Amino acid sequence: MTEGLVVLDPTADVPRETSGALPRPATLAGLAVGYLDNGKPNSDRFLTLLSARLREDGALDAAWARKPSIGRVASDEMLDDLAAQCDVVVTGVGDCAGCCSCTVRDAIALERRGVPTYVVCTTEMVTTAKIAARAAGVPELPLTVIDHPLGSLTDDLLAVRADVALGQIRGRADR
Amino acid sequence: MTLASTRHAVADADAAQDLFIRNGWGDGLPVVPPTPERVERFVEASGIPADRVIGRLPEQGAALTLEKIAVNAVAAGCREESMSVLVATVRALTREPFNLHSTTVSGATAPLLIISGPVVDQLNVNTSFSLFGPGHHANATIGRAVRLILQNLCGGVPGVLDKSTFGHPGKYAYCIGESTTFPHAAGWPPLHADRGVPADQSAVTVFAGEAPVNARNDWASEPGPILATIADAMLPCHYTGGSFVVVIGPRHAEIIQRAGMTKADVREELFRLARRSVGALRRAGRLPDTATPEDEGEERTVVRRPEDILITVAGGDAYGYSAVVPYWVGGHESAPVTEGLSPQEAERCQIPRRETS
Repeated sequence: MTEGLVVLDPTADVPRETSGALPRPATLAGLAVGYLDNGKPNSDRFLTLLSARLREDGALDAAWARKPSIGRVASDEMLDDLAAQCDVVVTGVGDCAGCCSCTVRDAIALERRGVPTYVVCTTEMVTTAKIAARAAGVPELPLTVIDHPLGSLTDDLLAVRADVALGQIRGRADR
Repeated sequence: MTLASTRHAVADADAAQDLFIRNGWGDGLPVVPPTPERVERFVEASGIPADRVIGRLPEQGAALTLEKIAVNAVAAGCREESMSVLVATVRALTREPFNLHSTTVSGATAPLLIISGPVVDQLNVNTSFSLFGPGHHANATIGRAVRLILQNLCGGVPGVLDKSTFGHPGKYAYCIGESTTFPHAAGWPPLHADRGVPADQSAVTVFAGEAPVNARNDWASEPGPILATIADAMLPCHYTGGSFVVVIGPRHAEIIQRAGMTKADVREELFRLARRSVGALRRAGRLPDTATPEDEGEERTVVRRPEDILITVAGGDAYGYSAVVPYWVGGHESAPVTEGLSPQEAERCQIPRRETS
């Protein structure tokens, strides 16, 4: 009965080349910062609050883009535009499985265009973001993580989330 | 034949089950071990080279090859004659408008497969009693193969990428056949003909659907009350402008058709009825609090236009029931897709007549 059996792997077991994330700039002061809003409820308000804080650090608002479709990746055109105008990009907020994977892929697509990109996602989506980053070949992509949830938050709570994100972006500035 | 999949050597069939369970490669039920011999047979039955990419999932950087479809079809317990249906299904699922990535990992839907045309009888797809239920090999295994493909190739591992709060039972298998007799009796075209595939061909329609909702009306003998009952069953939906599948049961279909209504008439009437006022939605807590008092009387329709109601006929013919299948939370961001089978593909879907002695 135990003659042995060979079974084939049912998953997409494609070996992939991996690369590291781009180094983050030492400071965002004087840099052109772009914001890629993934369209989730409250993402726009969160990014607005974060941009105000980054401006206090001397960052310059260079571009704003909002994806027309939450659960899909950004178009090449939108990414090319951002890459042309920005030194760094902040994108988010990945607070659901569908949008978070897409936001990570958008960030990696921007990094491949030479633009260091900060992904903001929520605590519930860290695993999702890491799976997406590994699948896209940049397993060590840094994540800016804020508490879940996001969509139902009031301004006060959103401001706290923005402070947390700011701290992480500053803390990572010397990488 | 060269197969590219990683090979795992195990002691026996039980160890193969353990391997699948341990790696989360299944739906929790035992699988048929996908041995190279079985997979080769399935690849051959498809008539397509093993390394051919049938569809891509750009949000995950994934490519779905014929070989991987075959591995999962074997594991799901399919017959090899179903391969062409599965290939057409993967083509449909990976068309951009379906939005496979987001409908797989968020919300509470599974792709409902509606198989229509001659392959329904060729593969013994159930179109009758217990339509969404168990008991029929083709429905059970084709539906299950889609589940395994979603999990193993499209990131839909429950609790890992698939963060659906509840999911639904159709995520085990969600595959029905359109009746090959009822809709046509009164000149109603098959579902695929409404969607651009020639009426005499076979097709698969995929729709990101929540669990079916029954609409019972056993007492009416004219279309009015029956369609009102069906429209009422459509009301608890997301109001995000998706499409709706309406499965009209044979008893209802007979009454509606006898009254001379076309499918277009049915769509128009359901569109007219299936709507709620902003006030009613707000009182039910169903809207973010942005509506003004002047909006109260404004009506929200469950779909954006009559054409977004997909009509098919199936189910048992003993009672007066229809069923409606609500759409994914993202609404219009996922559209149903119908994919025809070529004549060659349809020809491959033929279970040999049982030999009796």
